[in-house]
Amino acid sequence: MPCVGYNSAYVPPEWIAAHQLQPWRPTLRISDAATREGVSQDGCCSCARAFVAEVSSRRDVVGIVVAAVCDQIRRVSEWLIDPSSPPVLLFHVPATWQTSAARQCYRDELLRLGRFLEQIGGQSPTPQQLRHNMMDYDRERQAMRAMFDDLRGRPHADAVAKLHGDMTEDDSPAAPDHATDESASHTPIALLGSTVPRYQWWLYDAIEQHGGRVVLDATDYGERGLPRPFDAQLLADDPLEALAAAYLAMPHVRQRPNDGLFHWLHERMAHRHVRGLILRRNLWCDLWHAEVARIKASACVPVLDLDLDVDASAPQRALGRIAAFMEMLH
Amino acid sequence: MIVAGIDAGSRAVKVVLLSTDNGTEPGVLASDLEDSSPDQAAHAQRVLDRVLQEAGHTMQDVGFVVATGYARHLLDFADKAITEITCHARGVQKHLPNTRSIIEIGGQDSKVIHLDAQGRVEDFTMNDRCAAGTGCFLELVARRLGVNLNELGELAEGSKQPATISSMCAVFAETEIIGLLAGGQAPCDIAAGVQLAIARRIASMAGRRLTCPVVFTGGVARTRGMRRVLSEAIDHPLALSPEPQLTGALGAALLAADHARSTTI
Amino acid sequence: MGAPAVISLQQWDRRHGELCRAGMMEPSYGGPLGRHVQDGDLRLCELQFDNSPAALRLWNFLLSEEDRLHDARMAGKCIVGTMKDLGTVPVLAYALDNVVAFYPDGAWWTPCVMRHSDKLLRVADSLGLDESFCPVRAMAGAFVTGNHFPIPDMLLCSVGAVCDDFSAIAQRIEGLGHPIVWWEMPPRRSPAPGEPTVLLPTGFTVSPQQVAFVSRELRRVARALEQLTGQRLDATRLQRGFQQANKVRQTLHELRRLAYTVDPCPLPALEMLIAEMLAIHFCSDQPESLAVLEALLDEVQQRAQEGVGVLEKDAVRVFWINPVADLRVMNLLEKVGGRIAGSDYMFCHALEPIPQDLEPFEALARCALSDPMVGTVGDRGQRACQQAKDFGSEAVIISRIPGASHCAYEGDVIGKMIRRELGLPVLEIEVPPISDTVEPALRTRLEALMEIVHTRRRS
Repeated sequence: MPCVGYNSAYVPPEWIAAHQLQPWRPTLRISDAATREGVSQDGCCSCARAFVAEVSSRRDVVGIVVAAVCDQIRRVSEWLIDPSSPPVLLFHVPATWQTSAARQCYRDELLRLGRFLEQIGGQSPTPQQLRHNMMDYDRERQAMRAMFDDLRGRPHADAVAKLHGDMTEDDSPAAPDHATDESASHTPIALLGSTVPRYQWWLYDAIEQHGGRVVLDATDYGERGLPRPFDAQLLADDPLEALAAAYLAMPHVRQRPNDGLFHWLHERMAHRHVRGLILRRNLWCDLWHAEVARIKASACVPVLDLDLDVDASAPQRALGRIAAFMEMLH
Repeated sequence: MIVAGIDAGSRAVKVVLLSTDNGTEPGVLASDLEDSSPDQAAHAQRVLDRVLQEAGHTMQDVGFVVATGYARHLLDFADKAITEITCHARGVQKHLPNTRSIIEIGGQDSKVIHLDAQGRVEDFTMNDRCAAGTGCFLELVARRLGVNLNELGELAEGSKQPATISSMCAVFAETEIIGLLAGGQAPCDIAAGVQLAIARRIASMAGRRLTCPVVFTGGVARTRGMRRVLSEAIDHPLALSPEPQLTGALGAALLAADHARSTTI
Repeated sequence: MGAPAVISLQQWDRRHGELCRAGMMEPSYGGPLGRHVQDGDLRLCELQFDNSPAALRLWNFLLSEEDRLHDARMAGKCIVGTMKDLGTVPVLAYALDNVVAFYPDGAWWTPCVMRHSDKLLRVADSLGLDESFCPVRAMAGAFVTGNHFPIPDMLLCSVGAVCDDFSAIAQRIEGLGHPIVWWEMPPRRSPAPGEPTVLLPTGFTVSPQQVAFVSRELRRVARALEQLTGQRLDATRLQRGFQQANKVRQTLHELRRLAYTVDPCPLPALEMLIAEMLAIHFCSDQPESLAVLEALLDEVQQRAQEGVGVLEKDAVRVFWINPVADLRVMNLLEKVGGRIAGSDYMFCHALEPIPQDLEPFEALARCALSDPMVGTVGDRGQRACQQAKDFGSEAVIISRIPGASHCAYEGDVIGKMIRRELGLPVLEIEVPPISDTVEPALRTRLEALMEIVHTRRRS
């Protein structure tokens, strides 16, 4: 089945699948091939660059959907526009999630996405087909939620990746060898931030090696990036509206105001008895960077601010900080 | 008539004297260079006087002086100040007239200069905000490895596997180097790694806009092995400008000759 | 009055005395420029100014904005902080009575003008908004210290297709207890094949759906303003507001045409930068901003007629992209032999007249969607090419704003377009809030650009 690459949890894979196309959200395996000729890396988000590199590398991609969830990815999407490349749709996700106008805008964007999918070979679904697809995805997400108590860190991220069509084996490098903590009880950790690219999944290992365990993955690929279950009545009456309502409600640092993120985070952290919060952010990401002080002030638990880029020294620096943070928590 | 070009750079003062007699192509009469000192203007005047004296001339014989380099505006005895970009382009053109791209790595900055088919400067890119990618970074590394700058290239040639220097910041790169030394990495691999890091930084600055022939000039071009590493990084053959450290001063002198000629006419 | 010239602050103060003795009439905010230095605007000592009374009025108008805002508060007027949209919401606000709108974003110049003595950036640092953010972070410092503008009665901020750093800073301000009415600005997109097309004032096209959406958002903003003021923003008020805004825009249009084309250059780059800025914020007094601009236009027209200017003839004609944090750089350009011939200071949309033959909110939505920053870099580059061509520019300078998210991406794209389509040399520079330490490097780059143009002229 022809494949459609996309970049954000705000793009519903069930909407793509309902158009008889294969949704694929790359987990970002390419760390260093993402530099565009002549463009300085200074100031450019490494994840945005990595998305461009990875989505361009797969030959069966017939279309690319870039959700403009930040200014960086909005601007990077222009790099993809090339006569020899698959068509690109810039998908607007309103930041003012709380207004009815925003919901209508998001719904209109879904319809525009639908027309784009049809132009690249997809088939418009009937309401029944859409409902069917939505229920399938909803069931999968429900199953995943049920596993949250058992599935931690790397396996959890891998399961979410598969839900988004990244079916390849997890071959990303492990954390550099350290003595694994053998103690029976691990310190419950919440991991917050945007995308943890697959080339940095050693983060999960490193946390475990130092006696922690990610019990709340609040990154874009984690639990935060899963929409709430669809409203049954709405699903029956108007599946597209149910889709829009569930997806636009996902908490994100980019929302204005973004209090919803903080409420969501605090509620889940309390429920999972989190004792430490690690904020993993991309070096040039202003949206998360600006909130560091607020996150620290409101978290009620120690917070580690981990700014990471793609350079080779990143793991060593990060490992040192994680080790110190975990020692502090112990 | 005699004209002079002075490149008052951050690391050295360079002087080139040209003879422009009989309407012929200007010929180099004398040249020299000295390490810079805090009083750039007085120092440049001293170097110029010495070069003139060695050539059997005095300041009265000099018809026009062009100053270039970062202290160019401080040399009040100069008739005109012109940037290093224009001067390097002109200097390289003298020896290698078909040049289309120039990479200049000096003590405090590095530049990529693009020339059009007529040899005019079309565009340029500069790095003068960050020490990594400049000659002073090489000096710093040489000091840390216990060799002088001239020996660094020789040391790097013994490397089988250049070390990875990933930091974009010269200060952090030095920290990395300390770590590499502590970890038992061979100094030759570190020296080669540093050359590679500089070359990659320059290649990133140049992007894919380089047009052949590409010429390498500036003080760092004298470092052994640097041309090869840079050539590989930019993926283009790289010609070396003769006496690369003097290229800017030579260009300044040639521009001085142009001005003197146009004034005379 | 003397020949046009560029003079220092000390020279201005002497000249001010002479002009007063000669009978110069000044508005209430008039006076010698030097008094602003006593108020802390230390950077003025290092700037060079146009020597006309009209320019003096412009500077005094600009530098007295904070006083004007405090006076407005004392007079019981509603103060509305409009953020990010650059030129759209103030038009709505000024259509109401007893409302003063201003851009807290303008605080980004305060660290430069006050040579960091305001400590705004240090306060921003303490909030976690360090130098990796755009200098507009000074705005957060101003909200914390309260030493500059009065805290507005209402804050309105556009969001969506805006810079991440600005959006993040604004969110932090809200987190500090200053509620914001956010309104959504989607990324501008060209209509899909077969979709109806709407032509915008700047020549871009969009779908009617986008215009309708932004129009609805602006109605929401209008409702918020109505609730704040108890007045109705009806069609009559709006048309009157558009008319006032358009007068400012038309005056600026003529001023730009003359200042950027007449040789010798009749008005320095610095005064033109400030004059252009009046199109977006009116310096907290819309009628007076028009009077200030008209006086400036009179001066420029007279100079053009007499064939006199402030720079040498044949100065290198430069198209400038993005505003600078350090005003001194505009002086530097002229010092090395350049002049401004065209600009894109990120608010070209605010220089275009608001259509008055359309439903008011639709008209304003079309203007808002013309914002160069909400579209693609390609669009912005295309317009820069057109403008540079129209103004006869010989070189283009793209000025990077440290930390601004758009700057990391646009220079390469716009530079390539200009080289390809116009064959002009392009220089990309970065200007920090105080550029003194990098001045030699900036100067070398600017001089080299001038040399390139002179070589081209000779051949």
